[in-house]
Amino acid sequence: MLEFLNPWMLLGLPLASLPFWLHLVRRRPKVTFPWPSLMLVREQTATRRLPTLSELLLLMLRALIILLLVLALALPLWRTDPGAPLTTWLVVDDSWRSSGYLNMLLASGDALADLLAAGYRLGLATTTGKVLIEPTDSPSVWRAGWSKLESTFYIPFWGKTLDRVVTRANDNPGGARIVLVGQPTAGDLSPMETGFTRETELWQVLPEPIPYRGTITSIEPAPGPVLADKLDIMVSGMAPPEAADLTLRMGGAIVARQTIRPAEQNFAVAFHLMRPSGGIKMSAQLGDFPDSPQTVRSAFIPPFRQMRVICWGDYAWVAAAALSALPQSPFATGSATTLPVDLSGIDLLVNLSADAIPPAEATRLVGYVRSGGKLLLMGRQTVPDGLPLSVSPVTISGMPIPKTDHPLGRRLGGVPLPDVVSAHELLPQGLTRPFLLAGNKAAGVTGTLGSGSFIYLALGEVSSIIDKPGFAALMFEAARYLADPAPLLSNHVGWRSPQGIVQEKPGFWGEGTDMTAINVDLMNYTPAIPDATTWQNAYGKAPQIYAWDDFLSRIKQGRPFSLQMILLIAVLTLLVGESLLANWLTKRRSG
Amino acid sequence: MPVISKFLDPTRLAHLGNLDLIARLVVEGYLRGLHRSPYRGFSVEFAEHRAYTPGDDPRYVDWRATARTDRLLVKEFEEETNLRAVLVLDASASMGFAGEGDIPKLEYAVYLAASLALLLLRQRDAVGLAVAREGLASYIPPRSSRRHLPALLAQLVNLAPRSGTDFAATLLELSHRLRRRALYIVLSDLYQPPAQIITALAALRGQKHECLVFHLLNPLELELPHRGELILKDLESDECITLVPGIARRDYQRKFAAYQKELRDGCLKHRIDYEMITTDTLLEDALGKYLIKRARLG
Repeated sequence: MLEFLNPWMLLGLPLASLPFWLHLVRRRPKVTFPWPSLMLVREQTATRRLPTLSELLLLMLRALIILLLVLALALPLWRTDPGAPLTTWLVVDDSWRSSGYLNMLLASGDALADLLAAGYRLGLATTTGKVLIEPTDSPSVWRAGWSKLESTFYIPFWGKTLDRVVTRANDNPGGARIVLVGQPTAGDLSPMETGFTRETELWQVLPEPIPYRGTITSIEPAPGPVLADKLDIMVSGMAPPEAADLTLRMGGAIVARQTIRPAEQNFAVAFHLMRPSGGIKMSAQLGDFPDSPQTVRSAFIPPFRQMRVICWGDYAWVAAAALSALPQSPFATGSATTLPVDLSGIDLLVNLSADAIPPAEATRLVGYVRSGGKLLLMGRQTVPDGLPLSVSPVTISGMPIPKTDHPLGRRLGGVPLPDVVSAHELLPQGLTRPFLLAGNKAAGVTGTLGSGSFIYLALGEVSSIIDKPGFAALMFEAARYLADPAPLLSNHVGWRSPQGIVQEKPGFWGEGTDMTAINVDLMNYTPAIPDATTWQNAYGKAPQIYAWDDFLSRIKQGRPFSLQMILLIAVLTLLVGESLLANWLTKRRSG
Repeated sequence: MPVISKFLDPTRLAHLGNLDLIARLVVEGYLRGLHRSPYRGFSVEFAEHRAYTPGDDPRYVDWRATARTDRLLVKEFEEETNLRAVLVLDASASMGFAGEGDIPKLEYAVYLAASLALLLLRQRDAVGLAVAREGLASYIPPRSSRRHLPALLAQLVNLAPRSGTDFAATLLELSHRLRRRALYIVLSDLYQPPAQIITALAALRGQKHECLVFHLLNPLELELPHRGELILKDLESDECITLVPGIARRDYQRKFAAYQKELRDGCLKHRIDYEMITTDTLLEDALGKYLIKRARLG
């Protein structure tokens, strides 16, 4: 079926009659020429002036050239699938789930670019909320945007991404086809979030499984005290389909090896090593596929460095003693009664009586924190005046957490805090919003100031818990986290729990998350895949589901065939013909 | 010779204006260019002496008279007048045709006729003039007197192209008027069916007359070189025809060649000398053609 992308250009079709009008208008008046005798002319058979076949052909050629030019400018498309939208949005799941198939998708960039044609445009959005390519029919633009596709550690935001895409798709006069590349869950596709309508044409492409050899997702210092002579390295990833050795190298030399079995699914293995004197490159390899970037990963372990910590105010000596009591402590600790004048070179400031900080010190602390300094306040809930903290309890399910009624609060409150709560459990990795810990006498609030460099722990009266076992360990962990948060912040894989290593990505804990089920759900993550009924209820129809290769061939079928180039070539050819014919006629007229 | 030839170009002669002067210039210039006098063999009776001029045949130098007078003199002979010539000039409207920068055919014919008349009279031949239009428009009988020349020139000067033509009828009419054997020198574009022309000329030949036909044409008439679409208007009948020369040219040229061939073949058949002359032809060439004919007549 023939369609036009610029149908208004067809208004120029009457211009095709221009050569005929010009021929009529520009007819030159005949010149009367005296001639001695018409005796020999009168008998001529070819004397009468009638448009010859050649002249008519020339006129028709010119009309045809204009006609074809107008049609070419109207961007004609021949479509075998006339109802299909000309714009297709690919919404690719680039969350942590995509690491298994994203390389396969990236390899298809050229195949997708080859689909592009005049009027047939592809756009690309990812579930992390980025619109990488606005719909384009330019292969170069497409390739440039497609190459930016990469797997992330984020969870997918299908709803928000689709909402953006649908908003854009609705701006297309011909509508758009939305192709979900990945497996959204039922919750991801809430009609309120996605903006889908029943008219939205949805496809879902399930990336084909690729040969899986296991994946190493990270290699980094294990959570725990950074000690001068010991180095704990944690290697985490996804288990291979068959048992394979995980080999750990330090500066090229193999220092440890452990077998990873498929049953482990996601694994996290800690290696206890002797810390070298300086920084060193550590690398881990899973199986015998050194050429596979997924099975090899390395990291540079910086040299051990003692951090300079100053404790001041009430109980400063207690804090200093606790931070330096452990063997091979990473802290070089000092104590003072007042905030030192010179705060430069100090990695961490610790105060156990935040309510006693005078306003002047609070002002200096604000400047210190804002310039990147680390501050640990432990003690009462009272926030000193002047500190611009926006610490507030997290509302879960829209309601403040009852400190004692909440199951998590009960769990934490029922047991003396220092005995149970470790810093790792108090400080979920990657936490980006205020977090409340509820307890019978203690309420802990962790918060961020700027880039997450500020932690406020409200543990009730310090004097009543300071002698409890574990308080020092808690403070130590908090201090270590603050002073050198990198190992924890980059560790999105797991954390130590009383039961051992929990091997799961933490994901994003947002509002509506059932805090009691965090451990359980994350360990047994099975996304709820919307079935046909869900689709039917929500949108009236289910998307057409294709495998990746099927998708490539299917979307190719809907590709319109642009007739513009053919018409332009025809115009050029006719122009040559017109020129030849016009020259021939001119020569013939002039003899 | 080249200098003289330059003046024999009819376009240049037209600027001179004086027909007598033109005729003399043509004839004298032409005769001076010849190495041998055209008079030789025509005359046998001594007439007078005259001063030698370069180009005269040394055989005619009168050495005795030269010795007496101490001047180089040549003898001139009184020629017998044994030729009567009639210049039949077509003065119809079609003879007024001229291309851009050209002289009309009639003007060329007048120059040629004047030159021929002068030449004939110098040879002591009798020469007359017949002007043809739709019939015999005027007629001056042939005489050999030199005083006859002004009358001829006066008639020629006043000729203007007009009306139609029936050249064949004119020739037939002339054949009735002139009983004595004569040379008819025809100057016309001959736009009439060739059969009629040939028939009339044949009738003259039947009466033992000699004929020399100068078919006068403008070069444009041979080529039809015009461009674009135009209306051709007949100078005689005012009839118009719309024409695209580029399209009609080939057919026109083919028909013209056939028409000319028919004239030439008809003349050849009746031993009539036929010469086609275009108005860009030097007059001396035309005179030469006459003298060849005259020499043949003896």
